[in-house]
Amino acid sequence: MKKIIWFMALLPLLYIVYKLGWGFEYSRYISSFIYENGGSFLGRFPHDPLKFTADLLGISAIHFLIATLSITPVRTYLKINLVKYRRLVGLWAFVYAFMHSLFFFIAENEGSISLMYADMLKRPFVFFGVGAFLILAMMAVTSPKKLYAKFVKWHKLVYLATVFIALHYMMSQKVIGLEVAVYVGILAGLLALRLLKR
Amino acid sequence: MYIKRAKAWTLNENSVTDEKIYNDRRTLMRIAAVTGAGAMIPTSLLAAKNYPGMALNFDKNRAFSSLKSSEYDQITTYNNFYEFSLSKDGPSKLAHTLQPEPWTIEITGEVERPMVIDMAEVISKFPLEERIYRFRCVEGWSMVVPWVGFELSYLLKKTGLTSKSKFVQFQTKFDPTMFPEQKEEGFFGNIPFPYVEGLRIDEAMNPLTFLSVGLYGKTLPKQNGAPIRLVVPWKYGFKSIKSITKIHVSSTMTRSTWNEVNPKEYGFYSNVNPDVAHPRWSQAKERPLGSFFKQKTEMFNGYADEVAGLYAGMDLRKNF
Repeated sequence: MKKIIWFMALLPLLYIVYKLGWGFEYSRYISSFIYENGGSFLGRFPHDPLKFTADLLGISAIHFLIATLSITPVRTYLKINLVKYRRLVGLWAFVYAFMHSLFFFIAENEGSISLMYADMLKRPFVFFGVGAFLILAMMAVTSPKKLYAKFVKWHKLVYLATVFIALHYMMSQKVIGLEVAVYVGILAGLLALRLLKR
Repeated sequence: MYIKRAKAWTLNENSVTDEKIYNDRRTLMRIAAVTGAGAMIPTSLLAAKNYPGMALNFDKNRAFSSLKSSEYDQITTYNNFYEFSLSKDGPSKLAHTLQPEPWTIEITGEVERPMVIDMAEVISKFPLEERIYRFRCVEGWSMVVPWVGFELSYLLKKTGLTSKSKFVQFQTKFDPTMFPEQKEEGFFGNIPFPYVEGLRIDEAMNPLTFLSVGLYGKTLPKQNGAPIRLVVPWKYGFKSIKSITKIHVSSTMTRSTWNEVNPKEYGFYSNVNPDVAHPRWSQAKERPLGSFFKQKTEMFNGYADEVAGLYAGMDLRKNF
């Protein structure tokens, strides 16, 4: 099971490396060696590589957040206990959120903290993104057993982070399309299950 | 003015299949033959390897030939065309339902001679030229496109303008059998259709304002707005409305779809301006397609010499 999680976790990252790899001369050389013609058959460099990378890192973080939040309902309703993997899956949600934030910080804000700060105050969707990331970071730091026992109360903040992430995702769009609606629907459903239980 | 009319048998340089395309096809065929997997190669992949359009006769305009064009594949598979899909690669896969023939353009309103003009007539009547223009999307990416077409002013001079003409409105064809998203009327749907865009009359008559009927020397691919679209190179891309079927000249300010969807984010003018940020992102830089590095966005997308005068005395922060 652990191996499956690691495999799933590394997949988006490998895909990004693979796609961006087409930007380098050597890859064109290798592919032209195989197929005479660069890259067109095996795949190609993304048209908008910065957006491609940021989007894939962000949506992967959402995938892992969904997986993390699903573990309790899966135990309650399907009687399958996966709780011992929750920390690993949750940490991967954090890792992708971290890479997504770092990427945004470097590509959008040129690595300047003051620009990022200004961006955060000016643009609500950045504010929600940063807020969610800080909560996930707190959870990642306090996830080892001993600390977790102390901070378990604080881990309830993941629900707030989920709301923030749903808002962040919706507000970053020009139009709320079906895909976004489905993701937000799943996140809302997972939160609603918590309320139902009470 | 001397206008060269080519004979039916004339082949020009543009009608020669690009060598890379030719080789790509051969490679694909060979792979298909070797692996016996011909049936598994999506037809879209094969289609994408061919220039689908008809060759056009045109002159290269030397005043607009210095930029290096983006790749054909980039221009034709990274599109915003919400009548087909909200995704960038959707239109190139779904636009086959568009029927660019027969096609007419209706010109009405404050014109001296309202008319309905057939596309075939448009292509044969107006002197076509190639102009390589920068194209800057409001979302922050950019490309360079070798358009083929003619100045919008030629068409408006043909219809004549009345003294009350102040604005021009353009409308994309409304036909859900051709544009599948036009029938989606739901909560999570799309922008309202038919798509409309507008220009002030002096913007419309500016020599840069172009009606494009082709790119890379051939008729427009469907996903790029076949058979005829507007190109306003100093404005954000969404002003350059696709698949136009109606042009209405009016005395009052016209509608603009994105302005109606979200007036805080998309103004009527929507001139490319690195100093005026979109509410959610900066417009100071842009991401050229295919590049991992941003470049600076120029005022009026690099066309300030030609168009800055149109906005003299206007506050471009208010009139964004």
